[in-house]
Amino acid sequence: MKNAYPILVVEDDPVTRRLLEKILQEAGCSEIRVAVNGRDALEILKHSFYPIVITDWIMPEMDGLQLCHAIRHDDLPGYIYIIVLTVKDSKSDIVRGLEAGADEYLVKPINPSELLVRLKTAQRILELEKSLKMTNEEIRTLSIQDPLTGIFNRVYLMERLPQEIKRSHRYGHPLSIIMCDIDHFKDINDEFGHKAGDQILKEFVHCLNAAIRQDIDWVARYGGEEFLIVLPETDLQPACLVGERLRRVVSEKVFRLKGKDIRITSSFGVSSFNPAKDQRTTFDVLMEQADEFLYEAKREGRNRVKGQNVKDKLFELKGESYEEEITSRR
Amino acid sequence: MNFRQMADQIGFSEEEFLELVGLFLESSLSELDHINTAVDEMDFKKMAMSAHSIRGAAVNLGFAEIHELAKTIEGNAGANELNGTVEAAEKIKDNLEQIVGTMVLTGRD
Repeated sequence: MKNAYPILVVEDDPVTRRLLEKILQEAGCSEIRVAVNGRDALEILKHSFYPIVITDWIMPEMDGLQLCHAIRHDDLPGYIYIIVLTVKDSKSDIVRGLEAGADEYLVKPINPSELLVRLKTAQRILELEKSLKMTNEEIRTLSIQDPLTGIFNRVYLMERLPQEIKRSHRYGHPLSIIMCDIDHFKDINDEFGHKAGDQILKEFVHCLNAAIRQDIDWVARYGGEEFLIVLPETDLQPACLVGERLRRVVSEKVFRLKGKDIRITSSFGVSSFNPAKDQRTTFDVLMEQADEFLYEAKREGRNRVKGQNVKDKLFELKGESYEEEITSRR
Repeated sequence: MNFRQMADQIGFSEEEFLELVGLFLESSLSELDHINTAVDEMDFKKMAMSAHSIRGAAVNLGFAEIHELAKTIEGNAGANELNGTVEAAEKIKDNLEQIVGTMVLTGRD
């Protein structure tokens, strides 16, 4: 039997400990560690994860059943398959052991064949757990990702932005959002087709991603050609500078569609709040304001950035160079 | 007492089995000392723990009589009784000496 999972043996008796080690080593177990009681085992599990635990019941300081309870109540990185191995052999003992959280209950003397076959069961359960976790992660990724551009989708935005706002309130740090939209996107679709439109969307997103701080700022697709950039710990002015930089990058970029070079422009609506000055800003207020400014940027001729602090004065950029400030912020 | 046969029963070579028996003798003699001290101090918890330790090791290696004797001591201690404990401890000691004797005879001490 090849067991790829590390095993933690918890046993106070040195003979049984050695016996178990030998059986497991000969069975090809990859990593075996021993603990002399439950407390010792918990200490080990705090620092290293062992998905299989074989534990005695009666031990000094902390017994095997207390260890089972502790493992089941602890927040560990994965499921631990627990085998209780003891001389206590009554039906009520077995029930108590399984009720404490053990997956398997074996009675001494150790029968190597039985132990190894139980370990195979442990492996099967752990493999199932692993594949279930992977599937869940894939589903989670699919559920929050925009399939075309690979950035977060609206579902994620609606879930995460309120959390960001809460965090800003809690720590008293500013937060800005930029709502942006590709100007006359419908014309591109009409002239070059939807496939070309998709290419523009992908390249546009690439421009956005390249201009924001990695692992701090994030972008989500809000609707068709509408995107939202979230800038934690960022006041209105630097947020408007980011918007302006993006506006310029996009307007200067040459897109090649069906053998033709084309240029596009985009409009930006910036909304910020600072909890030190305003304790009441909500998700709806912030979003409405960004939307309002995006609309205003469109109405005033597109290809511009409009922004404002919630309950503040209008901040407007008309295309001046803010390279120095932007550089220092990144 | 046939060590080769006992080793076969748990799927070990005689050499490996004797290594474990050496460890068993060492730990059981120490636990037996603890039991005797616990009897003097009427410390039933300590008595039960040491008897349990001997019991677990004995059953795994196939020393059935030692296992039963240790079980008696553990059971007595669980009921806060000493009835038969000293005698059982004596018998465990005899058994351990017998194992040592067999090891000497086979040139394995």
